[in-house]
Amino acid sequence: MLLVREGEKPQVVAKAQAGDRAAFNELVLMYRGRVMTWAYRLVSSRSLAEDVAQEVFARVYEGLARFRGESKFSTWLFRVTINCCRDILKSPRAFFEVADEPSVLNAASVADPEQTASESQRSKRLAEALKKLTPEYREAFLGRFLEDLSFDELAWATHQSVSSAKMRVHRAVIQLKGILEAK
Amino acid sequence: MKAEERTARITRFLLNEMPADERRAFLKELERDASLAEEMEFARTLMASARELPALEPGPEFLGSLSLRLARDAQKEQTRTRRFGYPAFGLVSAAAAACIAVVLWMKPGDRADSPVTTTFQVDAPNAGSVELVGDFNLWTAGKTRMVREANASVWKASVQLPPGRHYFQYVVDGKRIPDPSLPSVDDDFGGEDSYVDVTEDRP
Repeated sequence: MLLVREGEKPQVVAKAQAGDRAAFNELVLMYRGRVMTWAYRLVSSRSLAEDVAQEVFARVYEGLARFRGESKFSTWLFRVTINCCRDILKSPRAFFEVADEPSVLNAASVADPEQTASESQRSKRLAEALKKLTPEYREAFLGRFLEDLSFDELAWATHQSVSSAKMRVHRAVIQLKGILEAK
Repeated sequence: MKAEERTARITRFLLNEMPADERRAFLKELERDASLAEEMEFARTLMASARELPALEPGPEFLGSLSLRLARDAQKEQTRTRRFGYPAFGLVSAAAAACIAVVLWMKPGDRADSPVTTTFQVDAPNAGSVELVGDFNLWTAGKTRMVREANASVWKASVQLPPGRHYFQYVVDGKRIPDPSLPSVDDDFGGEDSYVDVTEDRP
């Protein structure tokens, strides 16, 4: 039986698992924004995040038949996103792309996600502070504070023990405090 | 209490994960402990800020690019299956009590897309029960039980599989294990899945 989170549609997941391409497309439409948001917060680059999102859904398409419903679908998706982000962050391209990100974001052709009207001043400061965290602390912070994952879920999604997941959340909070208070 | 446990409790409180008794005790603690209250306020602000982070959407070309990517992947997969589709009879011994597995394709179908009778065999001499789970039975335990032959240690099950790649695991006394004789992949769930490429024609 699939574990269900509010807003999730297990029947769509089940249809997609059975090979229904329309159902898979519906899953992409449902989750592309969340995956893109996670990826952007984890890799700090819009173009890398787009590539991550492509890779995530390609892996989901290939691996959906193996999804056993032992986690929420969105938690699995979060885990796959983390795996893809870790992979892309190891690539030489990521090194240069992340370093170039401020100019990329300032380019007129690319919308700056930090400039959207809906973003408050404090979330802008948080967005900037998040970029200064190491990837593993970003993963822990996003999983716990944005996705509301339990520590068990966070541990599973990030390939850590529960005690290590707690440690990472704690350190992320401490580091964010230091960064935000220094400004 | 360790610092990380304090933070963990604060986030559990904020996310309503505490049972009522613990929540009441935590509220009393907050009244007595100013530093805990301060940490709590900071975490509350962080959580509110995190929820205000704007959601992003991929660009308009995303769906088209994804469709092309999936079509390309499917084409590569077909080519790969044609070239390597009929793996050799596998017979690999694992340590001590372990499993020796053989996957055998018995009877090709009449049409290119017709199911192929595929027999899975695993040597598990000390097992009390063995099942087969995979994408073909939606990984559901209890659907494909393997049967041990009299006075033998080998468990067998035959299933009808359409040509293509299929992922599976054995469930030996409730524990999921991959087939040691076949290739496997990280299953994105913390374990490994074996896979077989079923083709309807022998090379």
